[in-house]
Amino acid sequence: MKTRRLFTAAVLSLFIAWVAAGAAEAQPRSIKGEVTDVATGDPLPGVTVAVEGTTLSATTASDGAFTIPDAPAGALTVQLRAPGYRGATVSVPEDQSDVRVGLTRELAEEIVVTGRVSRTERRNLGVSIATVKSEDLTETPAQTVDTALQGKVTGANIQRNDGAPGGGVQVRLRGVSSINASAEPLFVVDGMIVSNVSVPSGIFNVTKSNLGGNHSIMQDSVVNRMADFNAEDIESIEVLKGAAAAAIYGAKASNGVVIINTKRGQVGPPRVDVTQRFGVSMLSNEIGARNFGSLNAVIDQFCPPDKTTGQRSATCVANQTAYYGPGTVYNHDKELAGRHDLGTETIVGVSGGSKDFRYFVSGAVKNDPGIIDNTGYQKQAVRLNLGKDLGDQITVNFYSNLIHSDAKRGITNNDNTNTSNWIVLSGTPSYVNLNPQGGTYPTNPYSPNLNNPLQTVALMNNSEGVWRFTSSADSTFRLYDTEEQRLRFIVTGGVDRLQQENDLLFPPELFWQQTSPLHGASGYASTTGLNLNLGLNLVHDWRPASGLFGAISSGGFQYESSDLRTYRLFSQNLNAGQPNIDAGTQSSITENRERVHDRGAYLQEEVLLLERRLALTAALRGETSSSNGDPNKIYFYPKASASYRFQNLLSDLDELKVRAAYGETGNHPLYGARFTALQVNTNIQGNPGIGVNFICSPAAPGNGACAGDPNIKPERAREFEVGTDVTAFGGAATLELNLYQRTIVDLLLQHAVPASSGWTAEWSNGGVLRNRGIEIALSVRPTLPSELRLESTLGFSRNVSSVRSLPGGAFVTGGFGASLGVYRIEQGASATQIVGDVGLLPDGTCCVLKKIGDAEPDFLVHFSNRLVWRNFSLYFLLDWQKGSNIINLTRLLYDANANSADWNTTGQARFNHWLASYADAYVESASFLKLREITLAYEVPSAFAGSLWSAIKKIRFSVSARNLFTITPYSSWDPEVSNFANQPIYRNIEVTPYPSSRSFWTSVDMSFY
Amino acid sequence: MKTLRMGMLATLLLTACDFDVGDLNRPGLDTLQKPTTSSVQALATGLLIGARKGVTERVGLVVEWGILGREALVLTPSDPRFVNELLQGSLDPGSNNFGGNFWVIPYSNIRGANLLLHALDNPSFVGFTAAQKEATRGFAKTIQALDYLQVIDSHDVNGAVLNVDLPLGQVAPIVTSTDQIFTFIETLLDDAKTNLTAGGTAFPFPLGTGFTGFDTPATFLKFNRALRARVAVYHKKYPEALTALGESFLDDTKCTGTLPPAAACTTSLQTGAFHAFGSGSGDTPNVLNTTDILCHPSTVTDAETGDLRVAAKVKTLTTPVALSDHGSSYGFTLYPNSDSPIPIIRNEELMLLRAEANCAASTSGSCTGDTTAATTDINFIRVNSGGLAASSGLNASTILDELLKQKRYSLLFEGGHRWIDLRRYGKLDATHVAIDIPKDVIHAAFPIPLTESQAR
Repeated sequence: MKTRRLFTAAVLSLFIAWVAAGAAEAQPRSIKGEVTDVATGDPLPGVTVAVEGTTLSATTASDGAFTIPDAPAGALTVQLRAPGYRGATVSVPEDQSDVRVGLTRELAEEIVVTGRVSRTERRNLGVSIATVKSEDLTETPAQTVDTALQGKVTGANIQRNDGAPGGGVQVRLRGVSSINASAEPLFVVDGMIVSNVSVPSGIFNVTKSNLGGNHSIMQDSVVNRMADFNAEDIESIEVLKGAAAAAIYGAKASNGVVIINTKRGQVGPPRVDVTQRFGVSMLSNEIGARNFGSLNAVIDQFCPPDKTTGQRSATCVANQTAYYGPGTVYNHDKELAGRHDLGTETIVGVSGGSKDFRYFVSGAVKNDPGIIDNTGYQKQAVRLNLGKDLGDQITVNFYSNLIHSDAKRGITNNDNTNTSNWIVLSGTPSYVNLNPQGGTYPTNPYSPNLNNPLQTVALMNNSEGVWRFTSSADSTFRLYDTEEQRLRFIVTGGVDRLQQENDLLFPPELFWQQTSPLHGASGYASTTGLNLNLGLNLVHDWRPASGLFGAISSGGFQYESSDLRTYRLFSQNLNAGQPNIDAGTQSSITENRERVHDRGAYLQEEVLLLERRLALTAALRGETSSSNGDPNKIYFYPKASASYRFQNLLSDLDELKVRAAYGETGNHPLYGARFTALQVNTNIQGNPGIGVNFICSPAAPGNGACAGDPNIKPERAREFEVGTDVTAFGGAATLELNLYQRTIVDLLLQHAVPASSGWTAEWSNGGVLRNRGIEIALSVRPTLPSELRLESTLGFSRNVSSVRSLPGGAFVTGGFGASLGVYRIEQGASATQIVGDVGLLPDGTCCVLKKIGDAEPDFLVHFSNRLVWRNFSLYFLLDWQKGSNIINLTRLLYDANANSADWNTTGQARFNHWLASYADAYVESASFLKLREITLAYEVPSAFAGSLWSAIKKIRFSVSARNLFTITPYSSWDPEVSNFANQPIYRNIEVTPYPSSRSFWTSVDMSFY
Repeated sequence: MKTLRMGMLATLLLTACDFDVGDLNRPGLDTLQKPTTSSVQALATGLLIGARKGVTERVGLVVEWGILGREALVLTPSDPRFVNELLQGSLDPGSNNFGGNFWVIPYSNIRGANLLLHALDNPSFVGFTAAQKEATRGFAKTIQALDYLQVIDSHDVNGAVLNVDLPLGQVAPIVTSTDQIFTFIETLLDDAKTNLTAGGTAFPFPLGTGFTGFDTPATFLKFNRALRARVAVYHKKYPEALTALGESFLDDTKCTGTLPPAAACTTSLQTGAFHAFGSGSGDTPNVLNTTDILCHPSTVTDAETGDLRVAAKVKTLTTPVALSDHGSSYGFTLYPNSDSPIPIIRNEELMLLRAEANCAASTSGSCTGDTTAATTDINFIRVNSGGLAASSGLNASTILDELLKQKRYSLLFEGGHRWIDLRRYGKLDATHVAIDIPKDVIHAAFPIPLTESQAR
């Protein structure tokens, strides 16, 4: 309670400071001015303006304006300094009081984050931090922010889990950092740690996917909630890939940190930006099915002769003859996923500001129909970002975002009830006509429950409605501000509230509901999440006038809490088909709650020496968390880095920086890993009973508890990174090279234990996982004939993981069983290796277990180009993954039903190979080359645009495509796939997912001011 | 560094208040250190939930053991392993669903029973009287014996782990001697008998409708003896079996041999202990009535004409189902509803166990015991359950096959009796089991799960 009150007080004080805004009093005699960027003309805030020979100084506000009151009379010299800009000295004559100065950017001038609140010039960074700018994020429309990041960050492997509209994307930075705990990077939006939780829809109650070989309920085609945020609102994204960069985020950061900064208003008249898009999505490829070719082939397949009489059953032959009919071949993939309805997206942004007040307001409306009937994604969002200066001492920024989305995700992925679309189709021969005849759907005789997937998608509902409100604020108090020294107190705080409602309806009219004893099913789930953040920071910035060195010291305290509560109701045998939960005669309800409180404090020192060429940084963070066995024990996370810049070593080599860094981060135990819990949500005919819970699926809320460890502690990543940054040819070429070794110790393991103990797995800390990798990023902007401009970026990354030690021996962490291939953690092996049966043992029993694949790619390459000629621009992004394997169970299902498209040529042999106990029959290569994004744009000449209406400053037309083509040996929809959604280890298992699509968009962007 | 850490420590302490968050979802194991009456009651009833676990699932023992004995088939596009692992190929020790469950589920309940026994022994637990504690001990050990029986039924000569009441991290050896395992289970049941005898007049917790008629220590003992008789027969300890049957609920007095059998006769044969199911929230519904669970056609083709049991338990489907060279036009009608109970042991089985004990078959399959008594009981079932004429020509060498046939139809789809019985007499072969296509095989036992065998 105490923290709540503290939090409320802080928010209130921010608010009071906000409303108490008062204008600074004008001074009668002063020097005023404005500082701008010479290249862009944009006003420059934060420039220190000092009067030489005095202690007088000022800092420019966000509009670039400054005022020095009480300036001495007579001619003066004013010095201007700003991070990332070349300093300037300006003479101000006696009779002049207005100064306008333009500053020139230095090379590698970008300002990047180094701590919780401190920032520095990129050139002084001792670590690698990737930055993605707004224009690169939104050049080609993307469904979600995380998809927009695909192929844009070297060292990041960002993949979709399936093709369902509305998201479901996993971001992995520098390989895997955990085996059983969270695999999610930390997402920070405008200083606020936001939730990226994935909550299943509850369709597992229908598909019973969790009652198969894997108890995980994450097989619901789950969306991770970063999908809510709008890419168009984002100014820039900074990605802290390694522990050396992310240590200041402590035990939340071992999977890296993604820092998102949304757009802010700029000083100036109101500017209106409008984007209107129209687009379609289309099924990108087809799996197809066997063409039987003749009735005889059908009878051979489905009416085997009796083993004693040698006769075929007459009933069977008659039935098959009737089913075969004229033998027409139907394309079931297209019938089910052939929709290409028009999608639209409208985005309006208004921004502007006066001297001490800035605003950015945006609204977005999006409608993205899915390629399957009755699926799609709709989103409406508004954002309000405000900034206000309260005199010279205080600046307050306020960010808020309200989002509503509704995703209809259909019914795909694994099932055990013959309900999932392609599970049914895997057993449905191509000659079966599933299309409605005279408005009535035919039953599917090849499905045990007569399921016709076309009827299923037409009548069912699986919708996920999300309301989300995030709001954060920061308030900077300039306690002490001189030419050389600045001391700032920065308070940050925020709220992230989300409500997810899942509605499921499978009406009694569905054939497969009629063949079940209970007709009709309805489900409702409500999830509420609340994240609260509070941070208090003190930053001291010392920049002696000599310019030879500098120092930034910072320290602070953070409190973060997160709450999650899910209720799931499921009801069957619906009275008169009424969808309400209470209309069912059989209902069940489950609840799951999670709550975590974290506290942390940090100290950081950044020093610039040797004419500011040598940058040294050291920091230490200490944290406690209620998810640890001892909630009061403090865990420390240090970091240190050093970099040195050589300038003009050779001609054309402008700058060469070498850097080395070390850092430690952690990963909290999952909520509940402390406890050995008894199963309570069970009864027998109303008599309650408790018992040992042996289902140990870490990714399954409500099932997660197993044998816990009361001494559980965070796993710890220790990362050593060296690198170099080269700038050459006057900035026309830059090269970044990183080598890293990340060693994760005290791994959080949900280790399999002999089941004769009563439990199947136990939490503990132990073992060592190592990742080694290399990242190379090369950007060139060659000098080309006039009017032609090219920006080209090539990124390469390779990561190799290895389990260095594993007390307790090897164990399986995910999959459906060794006969299908499983992910097995084993000392000396890659963490993501797939092992499976490869034939019988010499004594004839099952089976030899061997490595049959690895989910980790050999390397990733991305190559993006922006070519501009006059008013035309062409942008494209190629994404290449080499290596990586997928367990393709879609193919197994088609083969097992003798229904694969290549059954007669290779399918049968493949299936027989599997029958001989070879799991490698269904492990496939996931290499791919994708044209991830392509956009061709034309910008109407501004003179012409202005002639239409003087307020029009920009009109830009563009046509774009996402995933226009994919070249891959992979046989199913898409080599980006995960039946179990976001997983640290066991991604890359496919069981009949929602098919992937390619999308095409035309856009018009207009700006008015 | 030290000062830094001290400073940070001070900061955190300054802002400290109680940040601990307990388990918001479930009671912890540690709560059993100080057992309350309600937690001990819930643990006891929980054993019935644990014993029921998985039984009704498609990957549970009724279906999978039924498939191995060719009583049932599961033909579904959603998982080929019902054919390719259970009817063909080899059973995989790395598979949870096709074997692993029959190890994991009983052992979790065995741990539950041990937790209950420790709670009862805990001196701080005063919620039960001494007699109530004894009754509960007898109950816990009986259910534990049922769980061990599931392990040995499914794994046979591959073995079982017996003394598992150890701290997590310690493992007992895998015992492969079935003699030793059966002796262990027999001792457990006999200990339970001692406890139940001292158990007073009532259990201090509800047993539910599955144990109607067996819900006091005295009547539950009859259930205990019935299990004891089954284990003794499996163990070939025939005199012990006959003794136990005498103390069980075996009842041959309600049937008179009239056709059709009188209601009282049918009810008497049905009498027994059951796994109860329900559709309330948190309960487990019986879901064996799904369209992909089929009756193996040999069940119908091998039956004598007019066998009432086939008519009562098997239905003909309007649409035959075919998949992977297997097919069937038959389904089961045994479990029509969400609350249909599944038998644990019934009077009908006791009659047949008595026949089997009296027969006392030698390794060659010829009866060495009281063939007259065996014939009487077999014919009792033929007439009163099957509605068939009594068989007149039975002799020492044909009784066993007739007995196994009657067991097949009397206990059809009730938990793999056919598979277990044929295995016990070395008859898991093409003569006794329908092999649909040449590549089909008959599995004799599930392998020990990898996580178990690799831990030693």
